[in-house]
Amino acid sequence: MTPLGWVFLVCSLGFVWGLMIWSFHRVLTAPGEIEKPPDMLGG
Amino acid sequence: MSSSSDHQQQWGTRVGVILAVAGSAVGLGNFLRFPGQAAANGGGAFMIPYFCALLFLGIPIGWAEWTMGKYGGRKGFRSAPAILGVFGKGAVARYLGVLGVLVPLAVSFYYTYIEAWCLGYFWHYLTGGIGVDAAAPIAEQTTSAAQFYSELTGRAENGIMTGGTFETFIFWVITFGVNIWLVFRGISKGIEKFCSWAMPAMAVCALIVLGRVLTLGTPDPAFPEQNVINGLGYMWNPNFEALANPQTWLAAAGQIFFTLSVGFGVIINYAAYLRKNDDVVLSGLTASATNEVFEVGFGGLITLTAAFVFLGTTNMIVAVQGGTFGLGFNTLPVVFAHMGVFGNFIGAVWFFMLFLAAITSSISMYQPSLAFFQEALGWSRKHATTLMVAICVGGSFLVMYYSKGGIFWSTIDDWVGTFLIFVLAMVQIICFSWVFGVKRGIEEAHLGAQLHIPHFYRFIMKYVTPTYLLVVFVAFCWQNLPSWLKSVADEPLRQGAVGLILAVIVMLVVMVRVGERRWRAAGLDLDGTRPPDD
Repeated sequence: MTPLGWVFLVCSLGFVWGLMIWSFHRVLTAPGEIEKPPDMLGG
Repeated sequence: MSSSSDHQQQWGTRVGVILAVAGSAVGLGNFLRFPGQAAANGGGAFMIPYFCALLFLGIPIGWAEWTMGKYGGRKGFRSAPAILGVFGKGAVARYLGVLGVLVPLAVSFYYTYIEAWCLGYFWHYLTGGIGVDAAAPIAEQTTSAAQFYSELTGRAENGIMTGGTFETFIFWVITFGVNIWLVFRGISKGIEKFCSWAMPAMAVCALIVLGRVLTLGTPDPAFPEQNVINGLGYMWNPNFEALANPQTWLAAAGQIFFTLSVGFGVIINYAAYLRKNDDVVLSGLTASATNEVFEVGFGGLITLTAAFVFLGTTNMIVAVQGGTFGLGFNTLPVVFAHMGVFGNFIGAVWFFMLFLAAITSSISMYQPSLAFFQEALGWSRKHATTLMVAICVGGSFLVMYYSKGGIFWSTIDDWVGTFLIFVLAMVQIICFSWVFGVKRGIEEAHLGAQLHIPHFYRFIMKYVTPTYLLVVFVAFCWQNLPSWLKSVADEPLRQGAVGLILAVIVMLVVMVRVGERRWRAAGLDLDGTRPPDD
């Protein structure tokens, strides 16, 4: 594994993991969760 | 126009719809196709065109599909033909929208069969392995694995009940039954609920296998160069010369295109069950990011690293050339055999993970046709499901019966699962950016959005994405169409597969015609001439 190989590995993993964690953080902390449909509430 | 019970169907939670779309995108290709493509096209350097394609091709088309689906849903439509008719403002786009039903339906004919293989491998690893002897020479081990694969998949000869494939037929019945049961339960209770546990379960399986692979060290002291670090290097060391080769850029664009399930007809249908003020921008990005973690974060670390550690550079070349299925079903079983007492356990976890990846994709393939049958024919969910099951059983039976050499199903994969996906994606992005208008389209996307699409994406979605897609499509046709056409002309089995595709297209076109009359009679805006009523 060359140093450049490590650079590509770390940057790629950092990008995809960072993007997913940031996105889910935004989704989970945002207000206004979708209302549950009647069939979910009524069982 | 869907039946009233179908109109009540909606996603239960925002995370649920994201996991369902991500589950649709994550499939065998994330773990098997991506690493092979990367290693063969510049290693780490492949990630440059790969991420360019993600930003300029995959994510914009995904946003367009999410937006079209939600907008179509507001107008009372759930299916691709009806929704594309609205965005394309007329019958041409509506009939081209048939591809949004055909693609998932026809791909499901063989996808559940492949899913059954994964279940079969999982079962065999759970009950003692597939008979690969780690003490034998590597060539002999590969032959054993290939023989098992050939028998399980019926490649040796045609016929479901012959050639040792009856067992696979049983696995297919189980797989298909689970799929239909989940889809019949509905969007929220079936698909969403299943994906909400299947996706985390898949991640846990991937982490278990990844943990084992990264702790393999140097298993054979006689070959010190065959270690985990060099295995990672095989996949990630960059070869910048590859960037000068157009093939690298084509491969990267193709990989992004297929991995995100854009142009597949699924996202547009799933998004039709959203409400007016539900977010699509952040949800689309999150679903894409989740898919990328499974592809780059897991697929990019597990598959080739494990294979390299046990097989070395020479055998790796053969393994990568074996493609998706060669790598997954012939090479990795040899690797598991070398893992000692944990080998069968890791093999079982691996194939269970592939099974979950496949089933979260396949359930998404049934929903578009189910929604279309209900909408076009005005049938109840029960009757529409019965029709869909009948078509799928017929299609899958042909795939399983004509199993020799995998010719029949690979022809459907070539023409529907590859060629027509490009066509549908182009229809979608042109309808969104040019006919409906990119400015209006992005305004629709921003209704309820928790993230705004950057302003420069107007330019990208109008000019860059269609051009990028067109270039990739033309290059793809240039490379593949002559040989594909010749093989269809030469091979009766391929002609049969193409005949099946054409028969399904004719059936769907007739249904669009029936649907048009119903939608007009109901006063629906099927040509997209007025704003939504809500």
